[in-house]
Amino acid sequence: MSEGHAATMAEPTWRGGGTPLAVGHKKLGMWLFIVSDTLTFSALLLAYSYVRASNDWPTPFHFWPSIVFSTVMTLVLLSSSLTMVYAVSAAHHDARRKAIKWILATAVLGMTFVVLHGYEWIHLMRDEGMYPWSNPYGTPLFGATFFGITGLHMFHVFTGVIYLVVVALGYRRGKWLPEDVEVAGLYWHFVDLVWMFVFPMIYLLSTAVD
Amino acid sequence: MLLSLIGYLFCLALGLWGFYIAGVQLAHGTLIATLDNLFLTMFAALMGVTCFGYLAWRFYPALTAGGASAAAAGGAAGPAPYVLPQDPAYVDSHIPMFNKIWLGLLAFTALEVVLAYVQIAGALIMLAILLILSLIKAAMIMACFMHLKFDHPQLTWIVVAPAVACILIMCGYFFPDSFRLLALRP
Repeated sequence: MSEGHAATMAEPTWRGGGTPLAVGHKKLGMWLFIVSDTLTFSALLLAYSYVRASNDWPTPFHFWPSIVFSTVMTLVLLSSSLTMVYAVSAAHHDARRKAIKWILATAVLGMTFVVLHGYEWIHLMRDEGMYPWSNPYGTPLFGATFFGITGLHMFHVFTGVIYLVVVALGYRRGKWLPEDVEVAGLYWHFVDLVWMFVFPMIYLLSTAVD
Repeated sequence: MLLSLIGYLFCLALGLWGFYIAGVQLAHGTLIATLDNLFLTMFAALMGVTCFGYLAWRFYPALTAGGASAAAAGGAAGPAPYVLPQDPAYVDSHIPMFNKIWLGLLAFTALEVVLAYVQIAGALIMLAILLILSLIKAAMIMACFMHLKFDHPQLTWIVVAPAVACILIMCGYFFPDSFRLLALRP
């Protein structure tokens, strides 16, 4: 919040005074992006549910390694959300070093997620023979939806890691403000939130139960 | 004043109507007899919840603080000055809560993994249970980590309402056809 806002706060909010909804334009923009991205992911997950409900769907994921890996990935992503919260808190205290440390911790956890997920993908392709276009379990749509949805999510995580590093560097130089850290945090929590739906729908509903 | 009153009464009527339709469906046991019934019930119940939720959100402070004093305070001094979440002291007081939320999210995840193996019901019910758990987790993340809970309440409405509406409309398009395909299968 710059000093300019204090003067304009006296104006009625919806006449352009202050900041509508008491958030800066960057934060509001990020929220609107999150809404649109929510719709992207929900369209994918609903399409997945569609083909799943109208097909014989295989349930091939064994406890080791797929479920254990994905559970650990969930743990890593949830923990990265917590470190991001610490980063935002430190940034609001103007504890610059601490904030950068926590942002980089978040980025490292995010990168851990990507590496674990990549390892899981390679395992599925090399050992199980599962590809986006064919798999040994049944309908080829299984591989298509799996790699499509987890791939888009992994892309978001990877982009998020780059975003966090860029924000950390800019924040260290003083180019960006605590608000920018907070906005990056919003994006990161959103990526975490999406995984909360991908994990049960893609992994847990496809477990091989004996 | 009169317009607001008409608005609240309309909201109340719409909510009652929504719950009435949902209640009739439930009472007659036709809730999931056909897909149309399921969606009618779902939308009616959602409308009821939304209308009553709005009324509760609007009037809950007045009811708990005593109608007269709240009205007097609102009339004389206007709403209390809003504390921006950017205030460091404000953020600081929430750290213990963030830790608890993180533990809660881990616990819910563990519960989900267990439920994937201990299937206590049929596939559809399990899907519903897992999705409800996920929705709770999503709400926890949005309310606390993304601190919508501490932002201006109108931000929540602007962010959540369109997303939920669009997702429901998508559900309305996707699932009837999906079940139709299921029925067409040899």
